[in-house]
Amino acid sequence: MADAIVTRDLRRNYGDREAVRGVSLGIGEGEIFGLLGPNGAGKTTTLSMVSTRIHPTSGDAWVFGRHTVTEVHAARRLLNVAPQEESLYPTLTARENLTFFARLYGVPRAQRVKQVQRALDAVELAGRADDRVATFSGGMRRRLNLGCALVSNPRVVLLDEPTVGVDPQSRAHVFDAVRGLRSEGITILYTTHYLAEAEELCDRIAIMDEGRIIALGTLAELLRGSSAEEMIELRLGSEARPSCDLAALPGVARCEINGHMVRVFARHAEPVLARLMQSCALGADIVQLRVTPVSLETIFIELTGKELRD
Amino acid sequence: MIAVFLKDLRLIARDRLALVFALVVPILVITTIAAALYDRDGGPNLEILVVDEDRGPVASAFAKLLGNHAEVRFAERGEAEIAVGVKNQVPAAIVFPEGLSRRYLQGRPSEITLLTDPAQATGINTLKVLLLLMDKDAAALADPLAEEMVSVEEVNLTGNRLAVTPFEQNVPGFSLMFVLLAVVFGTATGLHDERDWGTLPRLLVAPAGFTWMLLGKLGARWLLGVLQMMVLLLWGRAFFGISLGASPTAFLLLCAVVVLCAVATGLVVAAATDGREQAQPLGLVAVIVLSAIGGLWWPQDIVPDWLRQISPIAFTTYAMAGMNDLVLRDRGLGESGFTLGVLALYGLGLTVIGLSLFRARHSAR
Repeated sequence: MADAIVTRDLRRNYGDREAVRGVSLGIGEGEIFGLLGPNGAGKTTTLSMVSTRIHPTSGDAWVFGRHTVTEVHAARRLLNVAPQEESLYPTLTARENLTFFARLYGVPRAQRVKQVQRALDAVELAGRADDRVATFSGGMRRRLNLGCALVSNPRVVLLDEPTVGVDPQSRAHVFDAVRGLRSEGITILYTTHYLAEAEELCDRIAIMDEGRIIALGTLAELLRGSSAEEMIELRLGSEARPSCDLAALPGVARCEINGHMVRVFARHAEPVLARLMQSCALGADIVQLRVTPVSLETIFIELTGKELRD
Repeated sequence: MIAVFLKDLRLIARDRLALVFALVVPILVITTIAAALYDRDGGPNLEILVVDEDRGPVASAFAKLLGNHAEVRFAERGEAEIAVGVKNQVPAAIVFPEGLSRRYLQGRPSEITLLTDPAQATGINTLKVLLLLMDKDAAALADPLAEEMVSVEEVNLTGNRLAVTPFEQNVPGFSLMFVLLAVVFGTATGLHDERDWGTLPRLLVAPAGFTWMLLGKLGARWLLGVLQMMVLLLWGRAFFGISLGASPTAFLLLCAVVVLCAVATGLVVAAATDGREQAQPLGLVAVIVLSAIGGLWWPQDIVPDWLRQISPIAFTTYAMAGMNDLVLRDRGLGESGFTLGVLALYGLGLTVIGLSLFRARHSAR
């Protein structure tokens, strides 16, 4: 698999603040690569450097071998961006917006109508193609924003938090469109601070925090790197309190107690579950019990020591 | 209510540049208008060009009497014709004809010639008043009861009419001002709209390059401005009978280069500001100051000398000169070439400055 995007020790400073501190990545062609992290982690800045919008303070980035600073026009012809903010002309129709961005990205006249229709179909807006964007709901505008990034038929699409503020139905539309792109072999760099999105969509995930990549791999690889693989979630009765130190039990990696909710993380849940019942006299007070695999959220908390904040 | 009041005060205070512009605008406007209409040293110095073909005592006496009211400069006829008719440096020149002294001293009426540029009507009217004063002073010196001894023949060196209408004096200037207002504001706020709509990031990474994108935007504003200017002036022609000159090509080119300058001014305003709140007052300052300095509201020959001396810094001075050449002097393309060239250079220069500034401030490199 060829490298669609490569970055080497990318850094970007704003005054004294280091927004990105040495990001090195290799993203394969046709891959959906998730850049996951809290707001302010440096995801958008990294994406902006790859998109050629801003120059790195130091380090390099290439898109299909084209350097984003020294071969900027060649790199731009290979990619398109759906910025975090809606990037649309409200008084134009959806079709007019798409046609404009198709022309802007040099789509030949002969292919333009077809490409615009394809983008409308991809984001499921063909039925509203000739309505003004100002009349669209937030979710529809988000989808059209994505459509504008597809209309030039790019080899790389950079999606910056494309589902922020989107209703579940529109989010599902966006996911479908992104999966459709992958099936066409388009490479996608997808930034998000929604863990579930990264889990559901991405082939590989890099977790960013404070300008650095702190973990990188497939979801399975990231989970393997965690000290726990399963989570035991217990809801206790209103009067119940654990009568022993749960974290000290053999096989328990970590424990969280939040009111009547107890979460116990372990590599294997089954033996720990038995010990929990025996040692802590919890059995009679358990209202609900659930065992689930650990999620990216668990990994994120393990890695950063903090919740993924909005 | 108090919470909203305090919040709004805070918001206003946050945008300090907009606040400064809001305070600076009225100060600049008041100062510019006051400076243009009133001067502590008594207003503009009137220079009278005198061609003395008489070379006799009466012409000398007349020149001396004129010198009591204005600054007299002697010139040969050819030089005077160029100063009035070609360079439009002065509104008129007085020619004392050969034999004036002889006829005057014999008590026979004489005719002096006034070579005029009717486009400078205010100056010509002032000069005519001075001629009446001169005649009266001269008659008083010779014989208080004497009849008027001098009549004036007016010769227009710059067009085919001896006088211009008030419409012809006012319509072009006000048309230019409204074109400036529309184009400068439209261009400046149109560029900020791209940021407000969130489309700027997409434009910044488009393969065509941001400079071409900006030029495309400016081109649309330019075309709209040219059409607006043409419609306003054609309206003036249809309803007020103003002339649009002898050359449609010159008329079109003048509209094109004037609007180029206005668009470029809008670009500089957009580049220098961070949003609509700042662009609006700065745009207003630019339009008002350019209108006042360039003589869009009043003739250049009534403003103080210092203001006239600095007027070449404003492209509106050349725009108004070009307009006067077409409307008031019936000049064609060849005679307007210099003005058109200066305006074109002005527009291109401002465009380059605006593009550089805009890229530096707004492309987030």
